[in-house]
Amino acid sequence: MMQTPAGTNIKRFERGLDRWGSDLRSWPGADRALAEALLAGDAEARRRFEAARRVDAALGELMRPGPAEASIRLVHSAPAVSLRRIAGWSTVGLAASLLIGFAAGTLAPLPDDDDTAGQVFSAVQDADSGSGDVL
Amino acid sequence: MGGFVLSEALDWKVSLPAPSTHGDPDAPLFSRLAAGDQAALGPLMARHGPRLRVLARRMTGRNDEAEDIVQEAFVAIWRRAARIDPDKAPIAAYLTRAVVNRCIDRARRQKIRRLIGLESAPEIEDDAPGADQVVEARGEMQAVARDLADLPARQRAAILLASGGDLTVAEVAAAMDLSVGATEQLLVRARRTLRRRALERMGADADRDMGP
Repeated sequence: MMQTPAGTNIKRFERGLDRWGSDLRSWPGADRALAEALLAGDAEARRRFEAARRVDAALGELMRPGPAEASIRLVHSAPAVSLRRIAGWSTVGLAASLLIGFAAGTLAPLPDDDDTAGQVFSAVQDADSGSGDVL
Repeated sequence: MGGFVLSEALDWKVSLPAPSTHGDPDAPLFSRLAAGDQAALGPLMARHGPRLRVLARRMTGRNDEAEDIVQEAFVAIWRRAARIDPDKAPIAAYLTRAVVNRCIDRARRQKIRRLIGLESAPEIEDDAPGADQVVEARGEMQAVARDLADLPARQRAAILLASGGDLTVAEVAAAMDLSVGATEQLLVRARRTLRRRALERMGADADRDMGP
């Protein structure tokens, strides 16, 4: 399909909006002249420009620091990680400990079933009394 | 046609001309910090904290996360002060990069957690209402904030940095540790998406105004 010159110009205009934004003062001369001519005579170009202008205005507002940002807390000692994160990791650690404890308690053989239990006990006794060489 | 490949461009780190620390207003404070003077952190935070917190807030959509991220960034700069070369980039760029990296890491982790069902889609926190804000503009601002949340994290970071009003594309590139070309590509893609979404909203508004 052949593209009309007007369609080509709109495409070029849109590329300019995506590249330089809706502030025409930051556009290079030739593109700016084309944009101004389009805006003067093309309703569709004006609609697209308005969309870009709204986005830029909204982004500018979004990036303006408000009262919440002005009152940022100062860090005076080496805090490294916030308490909230520490609390988060502590929760994960506690959950992991419980899980490991449960698994160990459930899966480990009972002392009575363990043939080596007596030997280890003896070795510890020997070590405690200074006569063993296991530990 | 030799098209521009973004993935390649993202790997191509820019080598910035070395700015002199004499031109960096943060250089004296940073020198004190590097020498172990903790008191220098306060003025640095007062100078850059607000804009970094806005950036983190808009990147994450959450106030509490933003505060954590900004604090971590300052602490990271403080701890690594002796290893940071202020001749390579302004201190403000290092701080911005520390915040952006943390926001991108967080977005990545969040995406994985969402994929495996550990986390639901983030809710964008509402702004405190301002008496001077027109309702329609406020509605558009919130719509753009929602659209921002859908952008890939790097596009979101680039467009937010560029919209702060005081950074050139080269400075945005330096803050993101990317080439100028790669940053321009991110900006073009972000603007295109946001602009098309706004255009759709305008079309929907016009249809509503026309009535049945």
